[in-house]
Amino acid sequence: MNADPRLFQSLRQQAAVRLPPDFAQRVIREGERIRRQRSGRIRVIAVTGVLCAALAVAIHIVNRRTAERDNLEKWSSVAQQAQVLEASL
Amino acid sequence: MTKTDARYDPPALVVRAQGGSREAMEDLIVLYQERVAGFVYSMIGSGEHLADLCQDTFVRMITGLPRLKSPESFEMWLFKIARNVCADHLRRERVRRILVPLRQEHEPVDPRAPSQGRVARFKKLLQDLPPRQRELIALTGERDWSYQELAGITGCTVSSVKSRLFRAREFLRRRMNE
Repeated sequence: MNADPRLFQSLRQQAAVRLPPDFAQRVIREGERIRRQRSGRIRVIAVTGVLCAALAVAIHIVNRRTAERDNLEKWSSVAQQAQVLEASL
Repeated sequence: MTKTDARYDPPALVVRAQGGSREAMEDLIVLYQERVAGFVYSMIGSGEHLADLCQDTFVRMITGLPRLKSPESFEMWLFKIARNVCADHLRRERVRRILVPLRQEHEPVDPRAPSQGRVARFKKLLQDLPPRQRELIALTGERDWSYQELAGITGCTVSSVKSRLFRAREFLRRRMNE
């Protein structure tokens, strides 16, 4: 059986009176608040991402420079040793 | 303003709301709030959380509207949101009842309220149905949906819709005539 449509109509009416008169405006305000909150959260995530990437690049640059300096020092000491060896021959 | 007014053509309102029109958004909510409230009320059986659940439904509608591809399927999409909001609420309530078994479960009766025997009985019987059957009865009371549409809203197969609806209608027919 399909339930009597009047029963659903009564339930709809009972439900409708429980909504505040400015329901639509409330919903829109709440929607805007959530949207602002979400865009704020996305901004924080984006800024954190950019900072992490910048930090990773900075660490990479510092590590590369340190490695280059170490290599140059090692090469110069090897070159000196080679010169001393050449002179002694 | 009547609902047959050109401004109340749902697909046109959806397109305008998707374009960011606050007025169209408000018109959409006003147009559907009573029907969504009726569906939610049939599903949860009390007015205690009704306004919150309706608000949750429409807020999800607002935030999800830009992603809705077909404005013609708006109504089905909206009731799918309402159905999911109710399902989440009923799940939370089940857990809450386990944790807080002694809390008052029924709404206080207003002695001044006129007796609505048949409606009250129907509301009570709806709550006796399993949620998957109740949602189908609540939806069919809402509009003349096709089986395919009901399957789309409730996320099950057409044959499940048919058998659940049959069982639910049988139950209601039997109990309403007792």
